[in-house]
Amino acid sequence: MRFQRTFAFSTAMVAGAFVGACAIPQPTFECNALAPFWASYEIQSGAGTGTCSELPGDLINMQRYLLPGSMEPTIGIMPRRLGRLRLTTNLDGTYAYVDPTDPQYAKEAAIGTFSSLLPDKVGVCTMSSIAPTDQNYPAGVITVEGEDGGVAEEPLDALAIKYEWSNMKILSTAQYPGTLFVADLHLKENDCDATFKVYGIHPLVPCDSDIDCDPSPDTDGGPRTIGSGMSADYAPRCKLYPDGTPESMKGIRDYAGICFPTKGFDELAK
Amino acid sequence: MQHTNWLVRAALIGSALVSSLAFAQGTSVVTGTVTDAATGKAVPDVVITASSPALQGEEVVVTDAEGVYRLGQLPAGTYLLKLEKESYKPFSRADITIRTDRTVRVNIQLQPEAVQGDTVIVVGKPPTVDVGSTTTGISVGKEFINNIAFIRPTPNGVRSFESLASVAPQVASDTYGYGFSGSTSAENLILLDGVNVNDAQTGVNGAQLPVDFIQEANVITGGYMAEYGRAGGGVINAVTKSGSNEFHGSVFANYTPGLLAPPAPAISELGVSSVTQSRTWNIVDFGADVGGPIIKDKLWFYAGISPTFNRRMDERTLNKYVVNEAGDDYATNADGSLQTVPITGYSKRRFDDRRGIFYIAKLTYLINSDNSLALSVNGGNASRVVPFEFTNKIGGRSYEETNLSTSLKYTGAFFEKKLLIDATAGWFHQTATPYGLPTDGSKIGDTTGAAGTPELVLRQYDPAPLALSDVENLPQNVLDQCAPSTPGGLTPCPATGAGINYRKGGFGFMQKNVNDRFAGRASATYLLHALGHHVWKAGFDFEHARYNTTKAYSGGVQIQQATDGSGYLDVRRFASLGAPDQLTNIPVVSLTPTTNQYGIFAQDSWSIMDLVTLNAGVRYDSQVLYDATGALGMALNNMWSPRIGVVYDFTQAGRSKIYANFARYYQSIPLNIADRALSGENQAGFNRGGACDPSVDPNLINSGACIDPANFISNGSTSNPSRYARVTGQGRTPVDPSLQAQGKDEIVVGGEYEIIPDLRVGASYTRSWMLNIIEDMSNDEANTYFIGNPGSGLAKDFPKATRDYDAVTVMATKAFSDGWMGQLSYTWSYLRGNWAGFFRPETGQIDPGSNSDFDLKSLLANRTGALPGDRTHFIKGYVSKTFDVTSSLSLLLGVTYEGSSGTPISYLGAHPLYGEGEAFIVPRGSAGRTPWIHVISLKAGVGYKITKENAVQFTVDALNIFNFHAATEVDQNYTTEFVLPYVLAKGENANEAVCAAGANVGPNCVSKVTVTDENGTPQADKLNSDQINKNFKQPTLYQLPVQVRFGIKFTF
Repeated sequence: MRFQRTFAFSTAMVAGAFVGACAIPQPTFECNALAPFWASYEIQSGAGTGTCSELPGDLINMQRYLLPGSMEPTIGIMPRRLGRLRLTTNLDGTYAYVDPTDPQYAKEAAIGTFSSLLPDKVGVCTMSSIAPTDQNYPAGVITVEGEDGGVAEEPLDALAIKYEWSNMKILSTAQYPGTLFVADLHLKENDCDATFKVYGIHPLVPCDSDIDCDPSPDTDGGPRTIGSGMSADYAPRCKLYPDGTPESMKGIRDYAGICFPTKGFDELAK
Repeated sequence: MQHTNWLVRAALIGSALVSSLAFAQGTSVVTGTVTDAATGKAVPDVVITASSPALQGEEVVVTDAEGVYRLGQLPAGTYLLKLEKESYKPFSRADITIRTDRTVRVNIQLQPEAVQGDTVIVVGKPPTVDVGSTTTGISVGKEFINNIAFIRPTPNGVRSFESLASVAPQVASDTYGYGFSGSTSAENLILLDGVNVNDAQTGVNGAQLPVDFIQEANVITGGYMAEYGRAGGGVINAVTKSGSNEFHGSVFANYTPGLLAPPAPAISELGVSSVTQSRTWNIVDFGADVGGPIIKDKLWFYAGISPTFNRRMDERTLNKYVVNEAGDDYATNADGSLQTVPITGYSKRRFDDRRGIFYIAKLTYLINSDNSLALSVNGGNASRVVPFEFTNKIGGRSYEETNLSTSLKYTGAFFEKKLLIDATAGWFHQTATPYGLPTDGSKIGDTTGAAGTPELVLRQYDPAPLALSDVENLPQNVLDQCAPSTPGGLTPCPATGAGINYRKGGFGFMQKNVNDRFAGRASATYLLHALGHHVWKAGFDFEHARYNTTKAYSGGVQIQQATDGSGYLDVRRFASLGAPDQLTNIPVVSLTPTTNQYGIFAQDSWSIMDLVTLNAGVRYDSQVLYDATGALGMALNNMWSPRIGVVYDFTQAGRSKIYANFARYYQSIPLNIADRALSGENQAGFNRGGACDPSVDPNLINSGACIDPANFISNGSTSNPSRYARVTGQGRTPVDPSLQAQGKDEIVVGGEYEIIPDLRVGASYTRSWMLNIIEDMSNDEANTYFIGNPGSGLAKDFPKATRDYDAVTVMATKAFSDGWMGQLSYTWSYLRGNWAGFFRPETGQIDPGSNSDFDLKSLLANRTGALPGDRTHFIKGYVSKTFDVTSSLSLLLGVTYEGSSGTPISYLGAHPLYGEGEAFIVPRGSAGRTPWIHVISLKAGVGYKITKENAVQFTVDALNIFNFHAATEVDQNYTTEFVLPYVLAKGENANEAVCAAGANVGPNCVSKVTVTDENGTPQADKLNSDQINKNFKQPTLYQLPVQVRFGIKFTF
């Protein structure tokens, strides 16, 4: 009767209202970078001006800074080519390369400021500004062990290094949580002056041939017991170093090349 | 004569029945058909009056045109039905026992008045089969609690209500509670007086209440209808006692002496040469409860209180090692273990005291004949004090745990009881200190005292270990025995060693949790007559839960010494970087992740032509989790659960049923995942050396030489923007945009038959399988993680998570009558899959939704097999008999037997990325089974009736009376080497492939297992016998030992 219809109708109404309001999407992932990256350098100008213009790429490390309660993350960008200078020490253990105008090494890493905490609709994070790396090491001496066990001195050449980054974009989604970035780089080392288009990926996987980049382990009892660690979506191949292992990669592992995606940043960001 | 009475009642029939005193406040139903004994035809308009001590007033209904009546919303109790109608003889039926949430059918034949004779009171046995539903499980009531020995006190000393679940078939105890039908205990829904009392953080049981205050617990293992949702395990629905029209109560006390409880196995952990043994000293609980009327038939009260005490005694003794001839190492025995010599004249003891107080207060109020309210407040405060540590730390540990549950329940009936409304609002509040807090009064965030001093972990053993005398004050006779044989030589009493640490200084990690759950539910039941009888039910429920956690490391940091003594690392410090090497300390972290959940359901229980009952329902649930900052963390959408069942009573008299049910269940995700995986955890620190030496006073870490950057030790990185800072906290884990909720499907088929009055036998078959689970995973060998569903979305290359459960249960139940009661069940079950549930039984890790189970694809080989909870045979038998020796003296004897076959043992090895015990060398469960566990318990009692109302009873509960000590867990690490899972060839025997001792292998067996280095590079030689763990398959945990408890109870 009337009551039954009212009862059934109101139940259906309530049900419909709840259902229609639902299907909440999952949260977007914050802007972050998962370092270290292998960054491939594609020269745009300045070829032949020095060693720095011949670099095939470099290991780029990044560290995000966000204090609790803050909504403005920043990120430190540090190439290993620069960081390896820390290995050059005096006999007493102090660093040989010190910029007297910057003793706290505040301008050693480039510091980028994210435009916002969350990425845009396709998961791309951009920077509103990037303070460059700017280190000027004067000529001097470095103390080393002498031939007879005493202390000797060796000359140290002056070195002025500048890394100016611009147009940096980092992909930050659930599938690629800060593992891809692109940027323009203007690199100066003394007289060498070159600009590059940079494409960086994480993880950094050295290789001798394409099989080393295979994301799946060997299932037929072969020697590769763990996968390469590369995401299969990269469709990775082994990109060989044309002039041998770059200086900045030495000491990690000497391999003929590095695994690199065959898909571009914009293609993977879709 | 009855004449006058029924005339009055007949006059009332025409008008609404509103004026009769009626109260209904429970969830049980008595239904049936009244027929004419002579003609067999249905008799309409029969007035049926139900009364009971559990019922305020009486409930009156009238049979409809088909002679069918329904008495709903009844609280559990024993009922008397009186039937009256003009031209029929009045009829009574007594002793109808109704349990919580049950529907019983009582069909009655009325004799026409034309037949001569007086009022006929039939003393027959009312049926006990629950004909309304397809649920599997049992009800445990007061007779079981009083007569059967099966309850062990919790560590707080309280004989708590959740242990009532252990008697149901398909229920097995696991690390954190009771697992139902192959699932883990954290997946259950636990209701106490209608309030959800699950722990908001982990999903395990969050409330403790003595069984003395419990009326009944309904333990549901499967097959239930749409009104319960968001639980993938089962449901425990416990109802506390209520008052009545007469004053009743009890005073009780129980005592478990420590003398009769053997000590727990000794643990050697506090420094290399120190041994601690713990034993029960005594367990005591006592209390009282009382209930009665404030206004008869209108307002009743019930109250109870019970303090509990559980005292353990810990004793520490010391051993010394034997220094070898060369003076540079310790002498070993033939089997490789170190030689030890006990140190005489030293023993340090402390009491580890736990206390609790548990209480309940209830009011039930009959507003008018159609509306009633019940208010229930219950809870407990438990504390534990360890007065001092055996190592050199400031003060001891004090734990506090409270829970408080408040509920207000409204029950109403409208339109001549055709429309019934039930609504409950509840609040569950919980506090806990999982690691304890300092006993010196210092609090989280203080800068002095144990909370203000860092904890220091000493580890130096290169070149030589620290001596115990270096780190604590020891009496002279110990110093004499610990003196090295040559001055400055290797100490026979080391405090540190390879892998062994000595903790001193401040408290360490401190955490305080305050959880709240606000919930409400309402449902409407409408009775409709169309092609049979329909019971329509629809409702909704809503829940808001908060997990507020405050964490800190004492002194802001936990310090770890380097093994060569050269540096002190901030191994744990809540801190954040603002720029390279610029550290900002976070002395106290306070987070409050929250979750909102709601569900709506509609169901119809249709008694088709009054022959077969069809239960059909559907439920919709939704859950959203918010991280610590209040931002959306995870959303679970589209949880549609259909439930369909059919019940057929072939006796048509309430004595049998055959049933089948299909149900889908979705799972509520506890808040632990929103604390760490969804919020991230900021931890960073420095490694300090040089002039920084906090080993004598850990407070030095925050001042002087230790904060001078000249003493910082570089992190060694040539590319980290920071040269010294080490960031160790876990960042946030992203969520797969296509995440689906976790759920399972279940089919139940069974039958029950009451062969003689009060004796029911039944059999059922259950099959369940998972739809989707939520776990964190890595697609690229631990480089990046995400939360998703294995087998779909971002994790489409992962195998699907499986947990398949098949069980056949046969059961016989004898309801309490003639002094006898009993229950016997046998369950055969088969649990296979690659996912155990919300915690990992192999390690005890409980991180629901983010365990290490599915983390890496390379870890997944060989994970499918017999799961750790698989017990093929499970027998539970309980019987008790009460003997009346004289009219006032009675004896009680109860016997319990619980037996279960063993659980699977696996061959585990270490994985290069994840460490020990994470690689399944051959398929799960290949190494055999743990032994059968048998438990025989006895309960004996003497009862003496002082007056008609007052009685006293003395009881003895002897649990595991023969002190069987079979192993319940064994060491499953076949090797601690890094190994790769080995894929068996077709027909290959797993034990032979690993050259397991005892398998059919000759002495020259070469195993097929590949060993790798720490980078995963395979080595040339396969696993050999020297690399096999000598402790493999040795017990690591035994069944609970004998426990004898004496009790006295005075009832009035």
